[in-house]
Amino acid sequence: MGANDIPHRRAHIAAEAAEWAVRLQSETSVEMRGEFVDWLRESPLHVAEMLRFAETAAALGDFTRWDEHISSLLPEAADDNVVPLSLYSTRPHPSSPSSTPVRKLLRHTALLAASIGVVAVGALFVSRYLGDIVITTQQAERREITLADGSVVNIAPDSSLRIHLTSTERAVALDRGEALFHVAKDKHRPFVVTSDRTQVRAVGTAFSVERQRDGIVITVAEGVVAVTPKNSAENAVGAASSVISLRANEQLSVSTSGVTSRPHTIDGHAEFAWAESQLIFENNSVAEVVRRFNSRNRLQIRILDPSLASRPVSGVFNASDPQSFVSFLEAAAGAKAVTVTPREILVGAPSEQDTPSPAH
Amino acid sequence: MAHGVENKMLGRSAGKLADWFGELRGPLRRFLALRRRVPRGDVEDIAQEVFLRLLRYDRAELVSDPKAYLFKIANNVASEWTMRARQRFPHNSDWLAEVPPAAGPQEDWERETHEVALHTALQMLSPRAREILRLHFNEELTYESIAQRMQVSRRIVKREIVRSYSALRASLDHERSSSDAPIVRRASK
Repeated sequence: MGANDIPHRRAHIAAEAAEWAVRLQSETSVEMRGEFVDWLRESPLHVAEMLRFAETAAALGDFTRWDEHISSLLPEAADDNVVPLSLYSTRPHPSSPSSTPVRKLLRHTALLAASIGVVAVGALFVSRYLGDIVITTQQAERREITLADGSVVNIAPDSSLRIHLTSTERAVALDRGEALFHVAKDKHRPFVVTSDRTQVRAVGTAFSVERQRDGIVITVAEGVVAVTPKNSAENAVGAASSVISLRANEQLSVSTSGVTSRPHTIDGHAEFAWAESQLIFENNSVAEVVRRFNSRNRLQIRILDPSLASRPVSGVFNASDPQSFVSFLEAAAGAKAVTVTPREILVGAPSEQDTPSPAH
Repeated sequence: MAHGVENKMLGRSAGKLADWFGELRGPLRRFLALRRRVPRGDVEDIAQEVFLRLLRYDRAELVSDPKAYLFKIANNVASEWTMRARQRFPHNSDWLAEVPPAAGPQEDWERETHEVALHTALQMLSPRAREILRLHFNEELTYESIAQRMQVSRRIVKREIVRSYSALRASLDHERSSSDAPIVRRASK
């Protein structure tokens, strides 16, 4: 997940933008336009690349030196048909994006290989502590491990969990932070995540559990999980001891005092984006966004102005680039940022009193 | 192949691709003119803002004509950005004013550097790829006509456009990033 990925991703998105332009040129059904809108609304990068395409298209339209290029084209277009193709494919520009299927495949393979590398390291790490495994991630450290049963756990920064695998049960205790579980199917060994005495039970599914200061949040990506909130016997409230089933794209929170929210629908794509190092927000408060960034990075953002902290934000950010969020606050909300140390940025109030509406 | 040039002089109506270009020559014009003069980071911010506004629109409304909305919003953001930039750099207000494209020596110079960059980038492509780009973007022929003229399938025409664009985008970006941060350096060259 080095800096190398970013140009590749950009190049990939650029090609996607061109594909959209080409598709929308010929035929446009409502479905296609809908897909295009969804694509645009997936990421600001998509918007940026679409605008760039438009820019280049206009520049090509205005280009005045076409004749110089035409002269290099042989008059016998038919003969030309074969040669340039091989020419084109055998001498790619050094920095040209790799958009051919083969290249794509190679890239995916490389990515896969990279993730297997991570998994392999994780597996080694796990085997050493057979029995009760304790995994702790530091700030800005994300870890993905594969358990002996084939389940994959994606651990967010600043998290700690204990894993106990037996022949009858797969038990995970989340003591701190957040983890996303892709549970391998095994009917005979339920996968149970416990956090703050709330149990989440799954057979084969994908879900995340986040332990926050004031409770835990369970989010399901695929399948169904059964949540048993804190035992009512220990609770004065004595209400919700029953099991709640939570489906894909649903979320539930259990507060430290044992109060359980009703399951509500969420955007799973946004919720799990952190596992792919993206942070997606829609009307989250600046404070919440900052909390997310701070847990993932050494560079810490501090919002000094309470009204700024409570303003809603929408957007997609690179989780490892808190500076981009600060710049965004400066540009969109007129905030003033001061870099105090290489590890800390202070963000103050906008110069003029703004209405507390979303960033304009 | 001189008809390409003639065609351009005759204008671009002739029932061709009213599509991208209809919108491009209209509301997006100012955005594009402005875009050449703002640092790359700012453009990313503009896209970010366009994105946020797209999220706020009703999906059904956007679906009715997504491109028109995209360009309209981009244009709005760009104009607001112009005003904001004017406040930020009062002494620079002249070059960020709503100038029509291609006015003044600054504009000519910008255009010239842009042309050179594009020229260089186009040379990286195969003759066939260049010809397809020219027929599509400059002569504004449909895929069908290009396919007939080049004696290839429509599918190949489309694929070639996407590929060539990707290659152009990469080499233009390469140049931009190597001569971007130092806008000052570019000017002093």
